[in-house]
Amino acid sequence: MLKKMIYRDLKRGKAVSAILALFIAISAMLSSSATDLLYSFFCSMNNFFALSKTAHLLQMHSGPMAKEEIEKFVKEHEYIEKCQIVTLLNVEGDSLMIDKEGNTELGSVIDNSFVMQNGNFDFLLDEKNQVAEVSEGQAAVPMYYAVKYGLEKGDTISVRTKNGTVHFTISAFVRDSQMNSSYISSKRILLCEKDWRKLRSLTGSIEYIIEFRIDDIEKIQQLETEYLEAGLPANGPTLTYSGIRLLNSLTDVMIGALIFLVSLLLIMISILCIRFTMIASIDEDYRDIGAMKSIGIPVKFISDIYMKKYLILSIIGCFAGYILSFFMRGLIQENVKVYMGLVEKNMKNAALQLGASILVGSLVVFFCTKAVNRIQKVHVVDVLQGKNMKNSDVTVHFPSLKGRGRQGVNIRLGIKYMISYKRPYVIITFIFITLTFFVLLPLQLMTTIQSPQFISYMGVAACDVRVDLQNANTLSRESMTIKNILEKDKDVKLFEIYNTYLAISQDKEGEDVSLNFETGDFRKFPISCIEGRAPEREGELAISYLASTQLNKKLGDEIVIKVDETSYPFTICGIYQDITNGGKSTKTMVYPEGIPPSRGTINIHFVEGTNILEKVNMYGKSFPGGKITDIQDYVAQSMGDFILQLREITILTMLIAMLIIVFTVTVFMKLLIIRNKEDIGVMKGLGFQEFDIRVQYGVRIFISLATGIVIGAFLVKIGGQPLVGKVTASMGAAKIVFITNIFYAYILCPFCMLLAAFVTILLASKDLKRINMLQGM
Amino acid sequence: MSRILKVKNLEKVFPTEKGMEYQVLKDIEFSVEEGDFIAIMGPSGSGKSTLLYNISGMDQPTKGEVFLDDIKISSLDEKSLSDLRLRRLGYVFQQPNLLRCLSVKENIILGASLLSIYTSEQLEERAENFMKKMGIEDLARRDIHTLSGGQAQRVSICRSLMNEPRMIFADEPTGALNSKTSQEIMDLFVELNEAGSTIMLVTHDSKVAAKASQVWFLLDGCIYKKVTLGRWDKKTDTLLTRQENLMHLMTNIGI
Repeated sequence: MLKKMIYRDLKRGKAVSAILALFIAISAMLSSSATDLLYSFFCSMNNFFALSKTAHLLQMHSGPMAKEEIEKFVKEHEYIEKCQIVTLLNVEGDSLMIDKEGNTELGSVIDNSFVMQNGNFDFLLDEKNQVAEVSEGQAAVPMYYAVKYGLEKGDTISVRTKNGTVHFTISAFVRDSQMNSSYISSKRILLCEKDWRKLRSLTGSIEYIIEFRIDDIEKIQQLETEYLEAGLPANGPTLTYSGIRLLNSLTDVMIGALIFLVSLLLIMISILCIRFTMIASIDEDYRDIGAMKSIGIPVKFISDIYMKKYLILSIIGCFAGYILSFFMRGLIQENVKVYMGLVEKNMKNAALQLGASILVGSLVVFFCTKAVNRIQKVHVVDVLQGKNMKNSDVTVHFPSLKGRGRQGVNIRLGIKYMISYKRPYVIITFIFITLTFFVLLPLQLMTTIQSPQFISYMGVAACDVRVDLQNANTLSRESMTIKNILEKDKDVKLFEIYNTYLAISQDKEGEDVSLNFETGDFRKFPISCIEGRAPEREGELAISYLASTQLNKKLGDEIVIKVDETSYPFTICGIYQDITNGGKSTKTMVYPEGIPPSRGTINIHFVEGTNILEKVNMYGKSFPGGKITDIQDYVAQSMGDFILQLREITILTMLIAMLIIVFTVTVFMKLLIIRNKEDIGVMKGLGFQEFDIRVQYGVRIFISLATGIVIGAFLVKIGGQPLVGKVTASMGAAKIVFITNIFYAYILCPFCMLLAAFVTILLASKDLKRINMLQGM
Repeated sequence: MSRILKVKNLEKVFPTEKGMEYQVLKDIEFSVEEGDFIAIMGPSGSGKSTLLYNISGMDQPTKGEVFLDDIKISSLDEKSLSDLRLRRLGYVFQQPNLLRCLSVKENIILGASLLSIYTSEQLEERAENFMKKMGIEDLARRDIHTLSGGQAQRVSICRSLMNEPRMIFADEPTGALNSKTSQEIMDLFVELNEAGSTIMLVTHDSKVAAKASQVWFLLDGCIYKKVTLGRWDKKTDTLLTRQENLMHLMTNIGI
C-alpha cells in the first residue's frame, strides 16, 4: 500500500522529482569531486615535494657571494642537514624567445633564469616525476610555459647573445616545486652544465638561491632569524617551506574550496526546494491527511509516504552524483596532474568520495524530517469542518484591487497572492539572494583587480611605465644611464628614481623584522594610503599594512629603521597596502649614503598622446639591464592568471546561477500552480486569460528575484569586501574597496538572471493550460 | 422578447480510461428567450451540469452548435471564450469559489475590474449596490473564511452580476445550503429575473426549481420534458403547490 502510494506520488510529480534528484546528484557530485581533488592534491603535493626534495628555506641573493661564510654557518648549526647555493643565470626578457612564434619575453613580468640540475636537493622533475636530465643542445622548460604557449617536445627556445642567437631544443617539461605556481614571477629553465657555462660566457647576470634543508621543519623560523643575524648574503626575498607549499596550493585549494562552496549552495537549495515541495504536497493533500488521521492511520505511516519518497530521491541522487564524480576527475584534477603529477588512486579515494556523497544525502534527509512535522499540525476537526490549514492563504487587504487596467489588476493580484502565502516566496528570495552573492562576489573582485585603480593595492604609484633594475652590482651605473636618456626624451613628462634597500626594524618583542626600504620623492608619484599620506619630507615614513601589523605600529608612531649599520628614526605618516615582494615595505625620502641599493625602480609619466608600447619597445633596447613594464600591463600580467581564473569562475557561477534559477523557478511554478489550481480555475471561469495568470506568477517571481538581487548586491557590498579583505590581508591588502563595473554588476548580471527567470516562467506556466476552469467550480 | 441562446444538435462524449467513449449529452436542441428563468432537473448522471458547462462557454461540446446572441460560441477559441465569460455571462456554483486572499468586496469586483468600462469609483458603487441588494453590505472588508455558506453564496451572486451579464448560469447554487438559506437565495434569483436577468440553473431540489418560470427535465442526456410553471409571484403563488406539481411530474417520468 505504502509502496503504491509513493510510486503514485513520484509519478504524479515527475518533473519536480527529476529536478530534485538532479539537484541532489549535482551536489553529491561536486562534494565528492572536491573531496577527491583536495585529497589527491595533498597526496600528490606530498609525493612531489618528497621526490623533488624541496628546500625548507631559501634566500634569494644578488651580489657578491660569501660561500665560505655560509659553509661555516652550516657547520655551526647542527640542525641544518644540507645546504646548497644555486646559481641562476638571469636572461632579460628581450633576449629570450620561448613561444612558438619566436616572440621575445619583453614586457613579461616573469624573471627567467637558466640553471643546472641540483646535486643534493630541490630537483627539477620531468613529466614522470623523475629528476630531469638534459643533454647538450637541449633545455627542459617549466610546465608553466608548456601550458601558456602550448609548447611540445622538439620545439625550440632561443637566447639572443653577444655572439648571436643560441637555440635549445625542448627535451622535457619540468615541474619545479619552488617556482611551479603562476603566482611566482620567477621561472627556471634547465640546461646541461656545458651549455649553461657556455651561455654564461655570452649573456645574462648571476643571482643566487641559498637553499637549506633541516632536520626539523619546526626550526625554519629559527634558521631564518639566525641566518639574518649572521649577516650572510640576503639581498633578495626569503621563502620558507610553508610559503612554498602555500603558493603551490593556491590554485587547487581555491578550486576545491570553490567547488565545495558551490556544492554547499546546491545542497542548501536542494534542501529548500525539497522542504517547499514537501510543504506544498502536505498542503495539497491536507484533506487526505485529515481523512487518514480521522480513521486512525498513525502519523508515522503518513509521514513515511512523504519521507520515503525523498529518501528514494536522495539515494538515487547521491548514487548518481558519486558515479558522475568519477567523470569530473579528469576535468578538475588536470592542474594537479600537469604541475605535480597525480599519485595513483586507491580505495581511500573512492571511500572518501562515497562518504561525501552519503553526507550530502544525509543532510537532505535530515532537513526533510523537519518539514514532515507539518503533518502533525493537520487537525482532524478542522479538516472535517472544511477549514483550511492554519497560517495558509490569509486575506490580504493591501494593495487594494482598486484601480483600472487589466495588467494593474494582475500585478496587484500577484502581489496579494505573494503576501497571502509568503513561505515559498521567502524561500525563493533567499535562494536568489545567495545566487546573487555568489555571482557578484567573483565579478566584483575581478573588476576590482582589472581596474586601473587596483595598482594602489600593490604598493605601486600610478605611472605610465616602470623600469625595474634588479642587478645590485650595476644598479648605480644603469640608473645614471637611464636618467640621461630620460632627460633628453621630450615625450617624458616626469620621472623619478626610487632605490630599495634591505632594512631591519624591531617588533615590540625585540625580534628583527626585515623590510624593503624604498627611497625617493613620493610627491612626484604619490601612492594612495589607507590611512594618512605619502611622505613629503625627511623624517616621515609610510609603512605597508603588513609591516605595520607585524611591527604593531600606528599612524603617528615613531619607528627606527636600520639600513646596514645606520639607524634612521621616522614618524609614520601613512599606511598603504602592498601585496608585492612579501608585502612588508616602507617608503621614505631619506637617501642612505654609502650603502648600495638592492634594486631600483624608475617611474615614468609621458606627455599625453605618447605611444606607450612603442616606448616600452624602444627603452627595452636602450636599457639592457632594466625590466620595462607598461604599468597597466604589469597588473594584467602579474595578476593575469588570477584574473583569468576569476573570469572563468564568474562565467561559471553565472551559468550555474542561471541553471539553478531555471530549475528552482520550474519547481516553484509547478508546485504553486498545483497548489492554486482551484483559484486558477475560478479566475479562468471569471474570464481571466492564461496570459493574465502568467503575468501574476511572473510578478511574484520577479519581485522575489529583484529583491534577491538587491539584497544580494547589498550583501556583497557590505559583507563581500570584508570577506575578501580577510583573505587578502595575509597578502598585504586588508582594505579592498570593490571597484564596481556598473554595466556588468548591476545591468548584465541581473539581466541574465531575470532572462533565465522570464524564459522559465514562460515555459513552466504552460502547466496553466492543464488547469481546467471546472476544477475551481 | 428576443432569443438569447440557441443550441443545435449538441452532443458531449467523454473518453473513458479503458479507451471507450461515454456519451453524456445526445442531440440536444433548444433556445432561450431573454428574461427566461429555467431550472434544469434530472437524476444524478443525467448530464445537467455537463449541459450547463457546454452551453455557457465553460466547456466545448463534442458536436453541435451553441449561439449566444448570434455568436457561435461552440467554435470560439479559448481567448475569445474567456472574453465572452468576462463580458457577457455570469456564473454561480454550488461552492461559492471565492479567492481566499481577497476580501469580500474585492472578490465581487475581481472580474469586472479587468474590464475598462468602469472607473474604480463606478466599480465600488456597483459592488456596494449589489451587496446592499443581497443584504451583505456590512461584509465588504470581511475575510472570506469568516463567512457563512449563505453569505458566501450571496457574494458569489454579486460577483456574477458585476459585468451586467446577458445570462446567468447557476449550477446547484443552493446545493451546499440549508433549506431556509436556499429559499432566500432563490428569492434573490427571482428578484434578478424580475429585474430582467435571464437565468438558467441546475438543481435536483424541486423546492428550488419551483420558483423558476420553466422546468426542463433531463434524462439520459436528452431533454425529456419541458414544463412551464409561469413566473413565480410570492403574493399569489404557493410554493407547495408548484413543488407538488413538479414532484408529481417527476414521479410520472420515473425520476
